[in-house]
Amino acid sequence: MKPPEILLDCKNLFFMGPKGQWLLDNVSLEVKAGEKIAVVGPNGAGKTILQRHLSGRLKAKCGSVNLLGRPIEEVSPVNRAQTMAVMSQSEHIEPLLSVEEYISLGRIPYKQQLAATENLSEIERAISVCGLNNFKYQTIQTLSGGERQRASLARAIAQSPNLLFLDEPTNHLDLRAKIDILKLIRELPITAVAVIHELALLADFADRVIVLQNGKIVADGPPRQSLSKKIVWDVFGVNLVDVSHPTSRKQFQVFDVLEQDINL
Amino acid sequence: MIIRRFPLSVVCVAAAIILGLTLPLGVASGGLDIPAKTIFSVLLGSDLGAFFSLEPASKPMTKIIIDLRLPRMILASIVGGGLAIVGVLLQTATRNDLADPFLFGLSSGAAAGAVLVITFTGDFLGIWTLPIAAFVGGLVSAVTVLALVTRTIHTGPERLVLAGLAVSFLFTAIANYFVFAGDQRAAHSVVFWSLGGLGLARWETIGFAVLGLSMLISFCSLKRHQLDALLSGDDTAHSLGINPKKMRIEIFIVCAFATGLFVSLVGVIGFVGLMVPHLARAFVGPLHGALLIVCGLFGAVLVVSSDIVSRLILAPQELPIGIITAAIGALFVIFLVIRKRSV
Repeated sequence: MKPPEILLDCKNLFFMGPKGQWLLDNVSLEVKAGEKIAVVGPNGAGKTILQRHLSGRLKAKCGSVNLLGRPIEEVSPVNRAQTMAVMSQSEHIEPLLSVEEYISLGRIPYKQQLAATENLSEIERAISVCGLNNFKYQTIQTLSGGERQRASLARAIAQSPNLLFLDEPTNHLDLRAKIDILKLIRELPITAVAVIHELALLADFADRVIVLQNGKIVADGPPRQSLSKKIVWDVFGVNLVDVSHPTSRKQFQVFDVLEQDINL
Repeated sequence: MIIRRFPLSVVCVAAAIILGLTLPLGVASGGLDIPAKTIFSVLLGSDLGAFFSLEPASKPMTKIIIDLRLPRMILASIVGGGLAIVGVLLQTATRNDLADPFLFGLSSGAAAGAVLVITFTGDFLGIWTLPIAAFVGGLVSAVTVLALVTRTIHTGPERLVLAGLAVSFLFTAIANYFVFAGDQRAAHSVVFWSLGGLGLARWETIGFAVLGLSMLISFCSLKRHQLDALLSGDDTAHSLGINPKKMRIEIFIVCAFATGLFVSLVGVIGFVGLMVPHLARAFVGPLHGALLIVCGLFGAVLVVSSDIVSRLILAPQELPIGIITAAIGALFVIFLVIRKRSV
């Protein structure tokens, strides 16, 4: 069997924070086509910095990042934008843009190459995938937090990337909107790397979880393996309790600060 | 709430019609009112004029129309359109609603340049002396501001406002020092360059303004998509393949140079670059392809009509045009403040 294609890899990344602490401490990893990866860790563990290195937003001072086998600095910005997209959190978006206009920005990397109709159909597709048909002609400033996150996602999808980075896509969302957006990303036929704080929602989203602590990868594997009781306690200082749904028997993980186990 | 956008063609045609009506009005009105017949007779030339049985205009009348009023109106259109476009570019680059072409301390730089020349050298380059001195002065201040900004650009575009303010005060101090140190003619110069006026419009120097506008138009047509990308925030712009920092510096340089050219001819016509982009966005939205075209037209209409008002309000005396645009602009900003609060 052919091994899965490596979209992106980084080797021996180091990055020092403003207080002299390591935010990336010898980080090496590979992102294979089709994976849904969650990057987790406590605040200040280096998740966002790692994502900014991988997406080329920050230039690696020590270590290397390769996109499809080529050093990312050597990939032209347009090629990079056609290969990967970033959905950033809390961006200052021009409030008067309509949702459709905002999502259409995702086609900027293709303006020189493709006809307007082709770009338009990609925009329409992104709008309907994210369920924004009813919001097309509203301005960004009138959207709720959840709708705004979906518009951001649609903008990134409109870029037709192979690889999608998401920086805390569930930030500021209510519980239902969190589940909805993770489900939406899960079902996209592209590779996704997401920085996420919601440990409880991970199992439904990711098939690989990378745990960062003080800039080091302390676990990297399937969710059950990466988020073992020991790692969760060591890294986050919380207890992990496995429970099953009383009727459906579906397995859940509960994260709690109490020392004693909960009996259900 | 569904957003309403007007079709670009409709807005453009409407603005072009208004401009087409105000331009002849601008040629006709002023200290000396010129009847429409005379204007047509001059514009059509003696042969065609005779064909339409128009009386040939007198020599001085022809001179006023051809050498003074026409270049004045054309300069007003170019500068108005140009300043409005600069306003859009800077508001996009700084993502600040209050950014405007005079953010770079250009006005005080230009005034200081002009005052220095008047005080020390006199008209050693003839008709070009004042424009060139003002241009160089404006550019020196802009380069100072840009140098400050590029050193600190990672801290965000807000620095531009601070740097502009500081440099502006510095050059104002220099200009005022020379006024008080001696030459009284310099005082008039300070007023001209800080309140603006189209009185220096001549065919010989209009090339300055044309150069400024052509720079802006070529930059905008090449970079309009990159400009759009900046509207989505820096991280997203980077994700779209645009380097926001580099883009911002390019915008600042083009804007500083173009504004420097405009200021050298007409001084500071404030608030055009601040007001027109807001107005135009309400019609066609914030994407640059349509916005820049509409801004160019609206800006031209605003400056041409303000110039007409400035010549009529205290006729035969001519009011500095900056007073008119500042009055309209201040009311506009008050309106913005009230509206923003209610949202």
